[in-house]
Amino acid sequence: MMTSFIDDLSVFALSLGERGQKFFSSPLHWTILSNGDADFHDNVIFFGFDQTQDDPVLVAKVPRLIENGRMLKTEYDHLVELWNCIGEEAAHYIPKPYALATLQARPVLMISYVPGESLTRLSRSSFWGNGDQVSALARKAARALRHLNRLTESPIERGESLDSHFPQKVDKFRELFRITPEEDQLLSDLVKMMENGIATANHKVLIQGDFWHGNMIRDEKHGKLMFVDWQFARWSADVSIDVYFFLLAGALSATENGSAEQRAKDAFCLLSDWRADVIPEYLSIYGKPDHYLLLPQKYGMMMCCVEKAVRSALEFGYSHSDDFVWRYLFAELLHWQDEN
Amino acid sequence: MSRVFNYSLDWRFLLPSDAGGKIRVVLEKDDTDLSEALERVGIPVANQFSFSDINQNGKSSAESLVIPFGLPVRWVGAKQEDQLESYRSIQRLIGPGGYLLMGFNNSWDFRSKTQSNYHSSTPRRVAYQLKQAGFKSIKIFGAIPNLSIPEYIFDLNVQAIRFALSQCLRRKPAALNILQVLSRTIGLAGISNFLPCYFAVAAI
Repeated sequence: MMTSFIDDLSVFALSLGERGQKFFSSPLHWTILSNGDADFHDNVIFFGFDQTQDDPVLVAKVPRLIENGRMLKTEYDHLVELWNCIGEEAAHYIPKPYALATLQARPVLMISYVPGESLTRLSRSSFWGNGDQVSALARKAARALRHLNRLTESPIERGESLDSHFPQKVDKFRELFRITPEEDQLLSDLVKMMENGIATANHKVLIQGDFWHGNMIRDEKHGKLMFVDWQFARWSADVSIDVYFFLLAGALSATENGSAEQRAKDAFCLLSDWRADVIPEYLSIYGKPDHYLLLPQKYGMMMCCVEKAVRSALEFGYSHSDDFVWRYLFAELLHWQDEN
Repeated sequence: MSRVFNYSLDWRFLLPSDAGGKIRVVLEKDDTDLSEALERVGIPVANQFSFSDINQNGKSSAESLVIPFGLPVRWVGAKQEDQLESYRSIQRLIGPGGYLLMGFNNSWDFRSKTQSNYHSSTPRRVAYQLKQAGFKSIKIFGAIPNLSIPEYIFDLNVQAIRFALSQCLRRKPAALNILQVLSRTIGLAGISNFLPCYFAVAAI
């Protein structure tokens, strides 16, 4: 008889160990979380329990579609890299990678469980409508992000390529959406600004690439904020995407379920409100990096919008309904007053 | 634009991966969205058939048979004997070493007042009926909140139940309090009888 997928998952998990010591004891029980509702491009998350504790002892991520397994490989490689780079301090920020395997022809990433509350479903009204709560989370996120960036900061080697492929992303943006001459000019300026900024940077950091509250786990008991989902991580001399994406995703989460255009307008209004306190405080806690690039607010946020608007098309070959929200937010940000 | 279907089909992970294309899915009515979702995950239309075919099909080489939403009211009576007979017919369709996976709503789910197209049941009753029909090693999993896109599917084990329920109710303090009171009084095993729906996995 063929064994079920979760039975094979248990057998594999029980084989994991270090220095002759097994990590987990038999039997394992599983809870399957349908991450991303029914989006077939998302992963399904398996929480594994053994008999020793109430919390899960490990997490297994499995893509709904086998062809998306390469994203798990990227995540595994970068988690390993982070643990090698910053050592045991990594345990305060990210899950520990246990293994990347193929079970029943499906790719499986096994990582440690991060205890705490996932911030994916922070309430639109009671959380995002409350400036104090947003500020508190923003402060914590900025502090943790900067600390993590400091831990991975390292000199760019001579001849090392850190290509973010931004010009190609801009080309895709132009191809996917009808843009105005003013937007077209701004896209060209943005490409130049990034090229010039990166040319002057002499250090790189490992950016998370999808730094928003949905990929954060808050452990109130230990006052920690941890970061999961590293499948878009990469080495970069520019931290703008991580720094600004947190703000943009938060503002979009606060919007009602209206049209893409309306959501972008509402998010822009909220971001404008946040200019009084949330944004300056967040950016001041993050600080000004000396050796790598952080774009000014307007350009950093527009760069995020371009990257997010074309990500599904470039990574998975399809368009996501949220792509238009990002495209319209890009248009709104043309009106963002430069901080200088 | 990529389609986001109305079905997550994550029950697939309770079965062996469908490497040989031998999972067959029983659909009660025409549902293009479900049919296309199944195709997208590699279960072709040829492997999707109607419940009315079950009695006519006789023996089949299906490795595993999936009935995603339970026994349909249109084809199966409410009496114990009618349901047993259906399970026996289903059993004959599954090849050696194969599995039956069946989703069903809980008869004790007080939320649903509408007439369903499928028989609801209880974990105990389904396990008993499957055993009577000749299935072996029957395992029941809890599912929340529904069978189409269950956010959580879990072993009926104390830790797994507690985790799934507390995650679902995390932002509903009143419901969380009730859960805590119930887990102290009737226990989590008792609570598992009142979940909205389940998946049963039974081997031949």
